[in-house]
Amino acid sequence: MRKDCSSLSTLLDKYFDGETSQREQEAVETHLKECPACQERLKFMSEIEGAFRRPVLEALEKETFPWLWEKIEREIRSKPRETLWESIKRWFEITPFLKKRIWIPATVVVTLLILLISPPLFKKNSSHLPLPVVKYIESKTNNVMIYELENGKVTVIWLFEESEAESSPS
Amino acid sequence: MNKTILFILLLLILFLSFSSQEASAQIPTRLRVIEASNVGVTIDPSLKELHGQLSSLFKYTSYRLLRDERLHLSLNQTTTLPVYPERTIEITPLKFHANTAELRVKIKREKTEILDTQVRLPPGRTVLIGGPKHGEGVVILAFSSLF
Repeated sequence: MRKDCSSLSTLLDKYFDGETSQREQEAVETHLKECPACQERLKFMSEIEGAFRRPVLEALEKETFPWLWEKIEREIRSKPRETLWESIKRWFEITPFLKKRIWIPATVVVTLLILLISPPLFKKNSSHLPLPVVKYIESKTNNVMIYELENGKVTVIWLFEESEAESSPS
Repeated sequence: MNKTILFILLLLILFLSFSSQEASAQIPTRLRVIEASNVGVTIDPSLKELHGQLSSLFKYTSYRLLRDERLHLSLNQTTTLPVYPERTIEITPLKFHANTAELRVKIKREKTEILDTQVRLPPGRTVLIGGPKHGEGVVILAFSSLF
């Protein structure tokens, strides 16, 4: 290898890959005419490349890519366009939770819970309503008196029997 | 049968049992029959809890417990009990709502109805029905809620 061969080494690689500019290409070709060592190197690079590329190219030739693409295109064309309802349905189907149809009993459970829980929530607080303890009272034979203790815990219904006024509540 | 239908049926049964729970509830009440008189100064030890209220309401000096019944009343079912002297009491729970029992109470002397009343019995409330003569004094019926 001559002295200027080392400076052309990088350019030779680029030349082999076809990446050199016009000027670089001319320089490399001029050098190659005069340098058998670089000619030999370029030949070796071609042989190496050929050894790797050949099997790949052979495999690519065997592969039927056009057939594959035709098949994909055919399937795309044959598939009818999905309507909105179908896409909603498909969404439901792909959701595992809904696919299992758990939502039917789940809805029933939630509804029943609401029905069970809501009445006490909407009930009026009876403790604030001053409901009388005695709703009605009637005696066809006796006089009756109703009396309530101030603490509100005891209600008295007193039934007056004949000549008993003296035994009535104080 | 489909599992979902079975599940829904089970839930419906649960719901119905819950909703009917209030309707079929037993109403625990206490009925004490007390004889109040001015003969001696006797306070029945079992009336200790009621004595303060009785003495603030009546002028009797003696209170004797004649009968103490813990009743588990069922809605719309009449419970009849004999009460001294020769009277009967009929208790019919009409409603149990918002933790308050509505009771219809009738007192009869032989076949004559001497009292017909409807009272609300919330928790901690006592209703006293007094007046009928008994010996030297009177009879007082004390209804208390036990719920």
